[in-house]
Amino acid sequence: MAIIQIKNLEKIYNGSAIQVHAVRGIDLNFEEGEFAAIVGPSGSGKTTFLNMLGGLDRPSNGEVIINGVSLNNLSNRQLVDFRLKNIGFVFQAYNLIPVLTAQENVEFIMHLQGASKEERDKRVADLLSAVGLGDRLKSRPGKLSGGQQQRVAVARALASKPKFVLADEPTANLDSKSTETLLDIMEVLNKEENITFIFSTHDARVVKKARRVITLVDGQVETDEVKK
Amino acid sequence: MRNFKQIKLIKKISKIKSQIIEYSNKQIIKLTLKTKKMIWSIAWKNVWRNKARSGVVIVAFTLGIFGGLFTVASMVGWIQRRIDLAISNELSYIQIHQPNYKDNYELKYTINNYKSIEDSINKIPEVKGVTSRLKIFAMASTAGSATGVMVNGIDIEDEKLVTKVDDFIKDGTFFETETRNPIVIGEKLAKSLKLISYKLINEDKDQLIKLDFPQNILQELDSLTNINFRTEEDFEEAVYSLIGEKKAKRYIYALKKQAIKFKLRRKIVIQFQDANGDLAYSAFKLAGVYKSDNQMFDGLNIFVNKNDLRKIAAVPENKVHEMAILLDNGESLNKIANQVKSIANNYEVETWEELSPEIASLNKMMDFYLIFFMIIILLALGFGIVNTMLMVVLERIKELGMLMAIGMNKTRVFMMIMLETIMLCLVGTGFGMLISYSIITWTGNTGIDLSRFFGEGFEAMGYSAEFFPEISTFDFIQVTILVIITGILAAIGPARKALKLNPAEAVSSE
Repeated sequence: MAIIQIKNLEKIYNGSAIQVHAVRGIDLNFEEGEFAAIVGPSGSGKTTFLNMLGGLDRPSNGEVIINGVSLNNLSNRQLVDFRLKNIGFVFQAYNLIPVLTAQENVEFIMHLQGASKEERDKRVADLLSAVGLGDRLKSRPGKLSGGQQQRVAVARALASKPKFVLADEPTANLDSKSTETLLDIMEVLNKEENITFIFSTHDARVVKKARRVITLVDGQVETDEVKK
Repeated sequence: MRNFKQIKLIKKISKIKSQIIEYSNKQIIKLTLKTKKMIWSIAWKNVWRNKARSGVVIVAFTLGIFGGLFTVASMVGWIQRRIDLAISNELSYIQIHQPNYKDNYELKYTINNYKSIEDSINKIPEVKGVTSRLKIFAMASTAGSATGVMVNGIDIEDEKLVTKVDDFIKDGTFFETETRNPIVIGEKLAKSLKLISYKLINEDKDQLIKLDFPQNILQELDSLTNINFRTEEDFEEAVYSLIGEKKAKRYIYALKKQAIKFKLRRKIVIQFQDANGDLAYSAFKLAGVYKSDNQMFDGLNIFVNKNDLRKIAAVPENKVHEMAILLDNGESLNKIANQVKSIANNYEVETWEELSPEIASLNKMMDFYLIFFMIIILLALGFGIVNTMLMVVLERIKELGMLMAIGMNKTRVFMMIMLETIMLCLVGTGFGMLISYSIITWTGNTGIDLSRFFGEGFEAMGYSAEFFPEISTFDFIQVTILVIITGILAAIGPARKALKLNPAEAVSSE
């Protein structure tokens, strides 16, 4: 059974003069363990789609059902709690908290979940080792390169044991080497831990790694290709 | 009807149910505490994120708190000094009069058999001393001038127990003389009666040098040595012409204080209407000159021996006009006042607060001033905090969006911003209070003497130019509470702004 079901998803922005149809009736399903890329030109609705998928934005029509729970039926407060327990986020600009160390950034979300200290310490160390930063636990974001910061962000996204990870242009600010390292790490986590990753991207290297590529044009799915 | 087994099962289920509820409640409390600890920690770290900006806010708070507390402490100290001097010199803690006496200060309104009242009051353990006075409004005149005065006929030893006039003797003695009809007057009155002159002698110069008076100024004034000036104006004119206006303005107070000389043993004639309505007068000889911190008191009150005054005023032996009582301290003032009332039940017994409500009200006004000052200061600082925290929120839109996106609820975001603001305020307040406490304690011990700058002005109003700043622990607590309230109020706007953020928009903002 699909962990994510998207039914006739629509988003209309009401501007002062005109209405903008950012997403126009998308129907999609995502299975557990997918490594999928959402691609498309600028303004095609990738980020809007991802925001609705992650419960950061409400659709104008249609619904997103995650593990049988329709996000439309959740209040704003319930939605925050749902995100905390079910969805991992990786952002284009890393968005780490600069006053916290790599370890604290990763364990922050576990704090919000109320995990015990032992649980936090073990999981944070495991995750940072998995992303190749086992020796940078006490480093603050300012002391890490862009690639390293994004790896911390991936570890943070996984710390809450989410059902899936949404990554909005995760490699947009990275050089080739960092991009390659990051993608390799995410691929390993996907294959070995069966973690579902959904990216929005312009990056051909990400598209190349992805096993499913969904192309959006003008807010609609133009192609949905599953690689063999 | 349920059988025994069913009832047992229901009881067991309900026990398990209550255990589960108890467990989940504990878990919720545990989770809340853990999260709170984390929010406290992150808020504290955020305070130090932009050290320069936080530093400016902290310095502003430190200076604001210090300014407010020190000003109030100085005013409290100044007023306390006024109250202490009023009690120890002018009013004492309790006074007794014939009920009509204070209407017109007529000689006929006396306290009869005052000795027995005095003896009973002296038996009260908290009473330090009692003195009985004859008090008469009179005209005092010398060869050079005349003025209205209040003649206090006193018992020397009793008076020493109750007031400190003997401590304020500037020249001569407090009745330690064999002279007939000795009189002690204030410096201000001595000036009015032209019983002074100004003469800078070599001993005065030595004394001034000991007080760090600049030697070069004394050299410039060398030509004045041993010259006798009959009036204050003449002396001032000579000093101004020798050292110039700028320097003279700075040093004239110290010079006059040192150069003033009193014409001891000169005759002062006291003239008034006696108890029989006849004109009475007698000549007294100047035995001593006192100077308190209250020029109004010094200009009005003269002291003579009670028996000397009784003879000319025709007031019988067992009668006086006023009894003044000094206590160990003012803690049980009202209780003792009631005891005195029961002893002197035919007379008017008043505490110093009733005798001088304007001085008593100063004390109460200080509490109001502290709140008033601090509210103005904190209002200004509060706007600064609002500005700073708004900048903080605007700078961190992306980060706040991320926090909300990954699952930090609005209550926690609100709490984090509130805590950050309150912590910032409290750090500044902590420094402000530390500095205030240190400086108030230090100056409270050493005192602040402004006599060189405003001595005459203060004394003319009845206030001492030297005061000892003081402030109570309660005032510190009061200020802390006000700061926390300011922090909370100032944080609400920025925190609400953070709450209005849409996580999707905030995360992708530039």
